[in-house]
Amino acid sequence: MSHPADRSAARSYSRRINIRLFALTLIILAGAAAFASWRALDAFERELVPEIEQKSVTVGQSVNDLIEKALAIGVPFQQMVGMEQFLSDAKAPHPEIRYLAVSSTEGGLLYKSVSSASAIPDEVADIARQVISGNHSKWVELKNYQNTALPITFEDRTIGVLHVGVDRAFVRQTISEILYDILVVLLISLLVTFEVLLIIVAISITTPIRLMDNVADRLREGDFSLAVLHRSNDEIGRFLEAFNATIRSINQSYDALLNKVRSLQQTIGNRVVSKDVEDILAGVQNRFRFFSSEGPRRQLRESSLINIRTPLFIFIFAEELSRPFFPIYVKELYAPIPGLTPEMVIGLPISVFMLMVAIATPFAGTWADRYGPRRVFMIGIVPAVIGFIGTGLALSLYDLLFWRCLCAFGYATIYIACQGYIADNTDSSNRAQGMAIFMGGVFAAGICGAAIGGILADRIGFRLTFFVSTALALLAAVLVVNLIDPQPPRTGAPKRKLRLGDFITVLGNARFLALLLLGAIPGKIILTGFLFYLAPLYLKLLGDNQSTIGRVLMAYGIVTILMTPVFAKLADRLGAHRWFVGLGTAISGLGLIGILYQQSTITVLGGVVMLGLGHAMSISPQLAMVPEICAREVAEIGQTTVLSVFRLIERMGSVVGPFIVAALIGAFGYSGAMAGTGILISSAGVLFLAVFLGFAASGPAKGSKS
Amino acid sequence: MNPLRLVTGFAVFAMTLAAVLIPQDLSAQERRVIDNDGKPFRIYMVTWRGETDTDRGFADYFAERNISVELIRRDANRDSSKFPEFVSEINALKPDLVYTWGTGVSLAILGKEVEVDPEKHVTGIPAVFANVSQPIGSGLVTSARTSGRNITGSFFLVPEEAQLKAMAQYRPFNKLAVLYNRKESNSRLAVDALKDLSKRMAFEIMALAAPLDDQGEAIKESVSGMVEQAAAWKPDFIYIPPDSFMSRHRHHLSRAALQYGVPVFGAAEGSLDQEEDKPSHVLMGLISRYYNIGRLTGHQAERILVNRQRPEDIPIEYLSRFSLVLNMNVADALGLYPPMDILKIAEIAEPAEDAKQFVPVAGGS
Repeated sequence: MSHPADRSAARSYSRRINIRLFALTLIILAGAAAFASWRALDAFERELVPEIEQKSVTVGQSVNDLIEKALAIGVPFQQMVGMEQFLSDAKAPHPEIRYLAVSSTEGGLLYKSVSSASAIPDEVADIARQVISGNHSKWVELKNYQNTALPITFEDRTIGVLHVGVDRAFVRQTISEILYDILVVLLISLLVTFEVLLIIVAISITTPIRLMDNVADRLREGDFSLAVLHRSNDEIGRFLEAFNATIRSINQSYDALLNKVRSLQQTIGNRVVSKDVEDILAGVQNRFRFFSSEGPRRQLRESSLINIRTPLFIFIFAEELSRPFFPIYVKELYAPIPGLTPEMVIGLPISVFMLMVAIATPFAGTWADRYGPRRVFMIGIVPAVIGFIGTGLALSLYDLLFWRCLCAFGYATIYIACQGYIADNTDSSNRAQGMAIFMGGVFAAGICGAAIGGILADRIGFRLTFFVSTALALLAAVLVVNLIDPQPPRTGAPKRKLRLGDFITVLGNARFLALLLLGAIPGKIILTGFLFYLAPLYLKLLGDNQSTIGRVLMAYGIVTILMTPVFAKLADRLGAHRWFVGLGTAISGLGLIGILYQQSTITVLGGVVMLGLGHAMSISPQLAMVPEICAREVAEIGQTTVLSVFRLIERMGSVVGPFIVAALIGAFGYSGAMAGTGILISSAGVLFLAVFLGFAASGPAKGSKS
Repeated sequence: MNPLRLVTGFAVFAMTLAAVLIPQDLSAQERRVIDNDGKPFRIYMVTWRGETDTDRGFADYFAERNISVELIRRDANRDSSKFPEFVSEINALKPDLVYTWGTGVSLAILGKEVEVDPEKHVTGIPAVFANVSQPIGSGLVTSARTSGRNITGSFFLVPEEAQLKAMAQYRPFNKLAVLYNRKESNSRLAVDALKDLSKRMAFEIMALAAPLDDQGEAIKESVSGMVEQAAAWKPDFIYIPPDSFMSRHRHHLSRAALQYGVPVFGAAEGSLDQEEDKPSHVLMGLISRYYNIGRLTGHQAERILVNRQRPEDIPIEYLSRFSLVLNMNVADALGLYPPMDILKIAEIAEPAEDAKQFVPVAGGS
């Protein structure tokens, strides 16, 4: 029915537009952002430096006030008692102040308090002499410190100098912190722009062209009964109007012709002629179809996959906002649960969420079949919104668990609704591409959510961030109402439900079991246990703020989104799915072991990047392996059922992930747990390789070629 | 976009509500003048030696709280014979509250707990007492939790533990010499408390009681010898309890201590008083300021008059903040300067006499 050449032309046209628009936006946005950042940094540096100086003066002045009080009541300058403690107490609330030191007139140091890993620079003696002779305070930029020197006066004479040393690395760090934030916002705005472009191009260009293509196909087949349903005032709108007008006028011409023939038949009244005319008309009606002959004129609409991607993107974005701080939020609400260690309790809400997703998915699938994606999406939004509000207002751990269950229920439902929409609007020829569009939205939302969530949490706090999630979820609902048709075309027979027998059938396959236990489940364990649970807590422990935690977690999304297609193609081309699964699993854990050598944010980031790399290698080949190693089972119960069993059992890994890591924390502490998780997962990968290469060696296994 | 607007609107509404409601409620209450059904509360005040800072703190408290009071002031002018006529006047005037200053006045007007006599003491009218050093030791009450009758008040003395901690903050100590008059119950109680604390806080204690003469009175000439005896033990501090005898002879005592280079800690304001003829060379003390005691008493009066609480439900309290008084003149003479932490909170006493002259230039002990 369709003409593939035209279709691909339309597709490539929209693709071209997308690429050009995106490139153009990228250049403009990057340029604007670079300019704005440069100005902002400049202004920030100008503001920050006097700010630090002001703070040094304030802290220094309060110290000097007491020293001068002591002098005034008769304590000799050289014999002040408890100065070290006093200076250290004065310094304690300001981590950027690395030392407080008092010089005497001779320039020698009388009293000092120095933070660890810092040293008082030699220049202070010189500075002290200058301050005493000049009798005014002095601000000097030294190699590692900004030294503020304040005179100590007694009876109108400067008798000493107080030095306040601020770490210059603190200034640099504050500035780079802001720079990271700007870069993250830049990246996110590009991703969001891309999402917006996708939908605009889809609604205003791709969809109408495809519709016209569709209608033109029918015209070619002689069906003049259809018109394109599209209203807009742009060129495409006017063109389609003209296109519709042409169809209308053909229909009118046909009407006119018909009328003329009828009146002619009546005038002539000749049966033979009349019969010939009837035949000719019948022939015309047989070959062509006009709307006058078939009641009202039909209009054709087409659903674009992009229509679902944007709401899904926004919803996943809402859910992911809490990613960088969720376990920390749980820790704040901590309440003991008998039989569980504190670490396990903190991991519990993540596990419960994952469990609820696993439970809700089959139900959501049934509903999606019965009610169509639009209604199921709306069914999912209600618990999700209530869940977000409840999570934001949670009073304790116990009600938090309930709210998270609602969120999980909504998440599963919406996820399935969107998947169903893709399935409904694709056929086997373009389903893979449809799923790519779907997953692209999910990954992009993951990146944006983690990064923006961290920044929001720093600025407005955990609880308010959940209200942002609520607002975003509602926005997704509004989009679905406007973009998705209420009655989607139902195609295909109702899906087969999962039965217990299916599990028995599939789990009887040892290689399937090995793939689950050594590939898929470890992948989920490290995802929820490390990335969702341990990493935020550990980074918090290292003293990172939420923005930094968000940026670290974002790295996982960036690596997977960039590398997954590359590895997927490579694995297909090399026909080495099992190598990719095994090596990917091993690599995903390897980065975590680095924490044993250095406990720092960079090491955690390294672990997250390696995890992303490992998952980019292993996740798609895992799915590709299922039909390879289950040829018999696929033949027996169908590939969809086998994959459903695979997914369901795999999700149990997500549920137990936080528990396993929590148990490791209890036994080995945070660093030990991180390394332990890495070792566990890497070993699974190595074992996987051993098992499957063993299979390959032990004989020509069926379907071993991909 | 209605749901969005709804959510935003709701959030803004909720936050505004939270931010606005509470302060308004508070400020509304502050404005109102509080009185006794249109009339001021009548308070009958009995003092011992004229108006003190306690009375001023008491009066200021009502002014600040917008409580309308009529203060009926009576001063005994150090004459205990006036007490019966005050009691009969109180019974005739029937004020809303009675205020008594000092141990003597309080015992005379309110009576010891175990020997209250409605003929001699005020019983039917609630009372608050101030500047009573040892409300329990003196028998005014038997428990700090409740007086068990129509009165309440405050401890004038600072708890011994707080005093010892202040001393330790100035200078860690292992040996403490206590000089006292065993005839004074306040002093005996203090010595017992210190002995208890010496076990808990791990320091040595030497308690020296002044010798008594034939009449059973402490001999004032013995003070210098007692200091000498204590100094030979090489204590880190000499401690003077709230002892009238030692306070009266603070000049001799503290001057002698200076000669031996031992700092003296005073537990009561009396030992720190810098009167022209009896200057004190006590290094430091931790005391309750009269003014603050007055305000605390005012707060207890408010609970009785305004909040209608029964005095027996109001415990006998300490001040929450004490005053650390420091004699820099002595610190300088001893070369024992206060740590900066102490200086942050200390009140500096004005010396009446140079202390350095009493410290031997070389040698000494």
